[in-house]
Amino acid sequence: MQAMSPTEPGAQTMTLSVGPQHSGSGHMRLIVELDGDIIVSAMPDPGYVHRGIEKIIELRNIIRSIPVIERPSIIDASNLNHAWVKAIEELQGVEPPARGQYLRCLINEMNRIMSHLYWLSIYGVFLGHTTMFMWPLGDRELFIDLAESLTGARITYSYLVPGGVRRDLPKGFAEEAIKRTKYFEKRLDEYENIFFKNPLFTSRAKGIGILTRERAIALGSTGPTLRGSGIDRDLRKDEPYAAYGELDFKVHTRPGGDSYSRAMVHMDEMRESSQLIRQILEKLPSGPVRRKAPIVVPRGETYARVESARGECSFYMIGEGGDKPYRARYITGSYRNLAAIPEVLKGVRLADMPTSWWSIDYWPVEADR
Amino acid sequence: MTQTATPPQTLKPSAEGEGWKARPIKLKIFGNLIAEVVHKGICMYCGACIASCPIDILFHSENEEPIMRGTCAACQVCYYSCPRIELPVAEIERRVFGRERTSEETILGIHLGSYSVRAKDPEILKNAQDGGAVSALMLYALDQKIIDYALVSGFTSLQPWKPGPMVARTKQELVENAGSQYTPGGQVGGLAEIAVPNRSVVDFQEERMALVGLPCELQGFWRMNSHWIAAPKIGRNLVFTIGLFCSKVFDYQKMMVDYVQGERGIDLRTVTKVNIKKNRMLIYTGDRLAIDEPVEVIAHAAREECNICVDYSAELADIAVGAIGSASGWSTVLTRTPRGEDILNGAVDAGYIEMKRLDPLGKGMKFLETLCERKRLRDPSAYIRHNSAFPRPEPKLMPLQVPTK
Amino acid sequence: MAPIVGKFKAAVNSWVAYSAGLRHLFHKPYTLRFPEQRYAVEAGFRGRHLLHLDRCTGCGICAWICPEKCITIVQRGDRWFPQYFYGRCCFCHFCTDYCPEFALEETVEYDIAEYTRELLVWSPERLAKPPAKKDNKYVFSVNGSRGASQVPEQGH
Repeated sequence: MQAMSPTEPGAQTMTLSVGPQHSGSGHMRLIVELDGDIIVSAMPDPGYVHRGIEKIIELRNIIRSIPVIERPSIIDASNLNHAWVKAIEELQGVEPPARGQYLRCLINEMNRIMSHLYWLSIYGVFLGHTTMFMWPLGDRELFIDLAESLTGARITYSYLVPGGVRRDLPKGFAEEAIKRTKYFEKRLDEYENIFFKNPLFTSRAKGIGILTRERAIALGSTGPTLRGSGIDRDLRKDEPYAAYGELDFKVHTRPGGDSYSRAMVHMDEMRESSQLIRQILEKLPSGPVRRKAPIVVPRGETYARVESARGECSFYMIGEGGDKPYRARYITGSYRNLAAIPEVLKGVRLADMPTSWWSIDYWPVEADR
Repeated sequence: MTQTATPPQTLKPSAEGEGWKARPIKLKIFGNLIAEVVHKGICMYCGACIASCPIDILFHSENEEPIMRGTCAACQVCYYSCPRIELPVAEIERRVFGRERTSEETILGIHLGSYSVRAKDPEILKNAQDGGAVSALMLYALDQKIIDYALVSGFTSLQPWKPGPMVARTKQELVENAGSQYTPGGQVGGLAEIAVPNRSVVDFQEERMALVGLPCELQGFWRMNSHWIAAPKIGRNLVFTIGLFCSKVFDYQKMMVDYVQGERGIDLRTVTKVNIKKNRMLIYTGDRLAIDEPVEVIAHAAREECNICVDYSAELADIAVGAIGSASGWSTVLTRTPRGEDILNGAVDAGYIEMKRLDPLGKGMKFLETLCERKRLRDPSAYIRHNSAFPRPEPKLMPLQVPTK
Repeated sequence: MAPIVGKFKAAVNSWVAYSAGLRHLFHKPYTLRFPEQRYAVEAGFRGRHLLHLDRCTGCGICAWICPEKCITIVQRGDRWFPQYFYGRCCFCHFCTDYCPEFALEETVEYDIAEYTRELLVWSPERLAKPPAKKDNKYVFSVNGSRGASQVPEQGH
């Protein structure tokens, strides 16, 4: 389906506020200029859920900040937590033991799957496919239950601390995880049948919401948004951290640049993470999981970044020797993808707005912090 | 120390949490430890305070004293873990051995047997101080999976011949770290530094370990595990301890750097063995005996902190090992607990060591007793007590969870 | 020709999609009817805290490390104990980890809702009560012919 341009020059456009409490927009405002049914321009208005996380963490010591750091994208908590402890460990010069690094990768990949499943379920409900709303949330339970036996909490893990992780694997975890990932991959096939091959979806998503290669790079996109435009960039491969340097996985890209490509990148990443979980459990070394790390941010500054589910999540931290950072600038993947939203929505019909916009996997809470 | 205090007038139960507030009683903080132990010159750098800190802000330092990096939470744990604040010997013996020592055991402490031991493996004997008993017993325990790693004394820092706690998991690592060092190493601090122990109450399989230490370091470990306020989360995974006979240690800077390297001009990186035997200091570089001088030349380097220690033969260990009492090339081993006995007999049966019984009335043991008595003449009144002076409510100490094989 | 092939492919894919959904029409849903059917959580679950009064020394590290500052140390005679405000607690259990004495423990009790905020302030004595045993426990399992489901704990 081709995107159409406005018919008459000089015609008036209607400004619509797809407001922060709207079933098609999540908790952020999109100010949309419409010419009839076609979106002429769309401007996101972030900040509805801004809580001042960066100021909060200036007032708390580094351990007390950990639950706060996780909350912006609680469905992807451990990846954000990882960026925080990576920054602190770089300043302190502490290196976690090998088993701790592998367990960090394990919970990161589980979080990636959980975040993509949540994205998928909301994508389904935006398009009116309520089965696609129920199924991924139900299958999330597979991993939430696993994470609960590993960390003690279902979603709010607070599992990574500077120096390692807080707990070791419980007994019987590896067998259960392998069973569940195999079952999950079969479920992914069912998702493909009911949703991704469904012409009700492909006709709405193929060719809609184009983000070309050049524009994706120019706008600073990251994560699946970038990889859905054919660019092979993943921090786990390009700047390996934790145990990713020793793990074998592929970075999935799709050349289309439309909503369908971005959605399929998410699906491919879920399969890859599922395979990675099995690989991590196989290669897990023995040893301690946590090294002693002081509750201190030494003098210095560092920039630490990780590949979270939505893209590059980074911390620029300036320490001054106390137990709190002097300044911690916190940028998440969704915030980086904000610039891609007007680009993707240009020239698209209003009914296709949820398709294109949500395929970027913009999580308003994460962007607003 | 008393904890009676008049409660403040308006202590209303708050619906909102108010967090931590200073309480109207005097708490012991890390600064008390520095003032009462380190600056008074009685800190033997065992590392118990470093291991016991629940928020991990105490560390080893280059000056052989603990340093704090961060904000103290005033929990009093480090203070009451220090064996030089108070060492209630009777209580600790009840906890370690199940009973107090009898009058026959006054000099040597509770022990079950005395033996002369030599390792059979020539690789161990090459690097060993005397008979290689410590390395051989640790190797036996590692091979039989009694322990997953051994916390031995090796060289961690960039400065050559400065000992610190090291983890040994393989025979190669044990052999590399074999041999005695005569300067303090803070062994107990390694318990928390190497691997922060499992702090939750859920039973996760933790790696089991064994500890080698000087008598003061073992006093630190057991003090930490016996006092009500101290740290029962540390050392849950300890299977057994090996203690070393010790009369005193020397200051690293004064002995090694100033005398051996400075005055005698021997590069510390080439030194392979240091021995102090029969009042002579022997330093080997490679196979050559580089220094053979009376020990008085480093008498100025002797740590004064050792002048208050009365424990020569590691009276709180499971197995106590040393050179005194046996022939040259053999180690004296005293087994103090049934677990120590089992390990020694197991190692003999498995062929790791050869063993001769030492006659308790023989010349070797008599000499050992003489040295123990000589060390008893020092003055421990600063810290030794029979029973604890600290008043406490009815505590329930965590039961010792020494894991079985 | 191409539009007809396209339409044919779309029809086939539609039929695949419908059958993928219809296959589940005769499966029982696995929604648990809480509170009659409860979800069993494992022993390390981070629910409410259990305080061991005999081991607590009143050091206050739990209050110091609490991210939400919901712990107050209150006096009982000449000893001091923590008091929790569960209205703000995020159940991170840093207090349990950093307690030097094993005085705090995680429990599996998670349903501690109350009608008033004052009742959410748990005194040390209330924290010291062991959690009440509840039955009708179900666990999540991927065994069985119909894939993932909640099965009763005994049969697991």
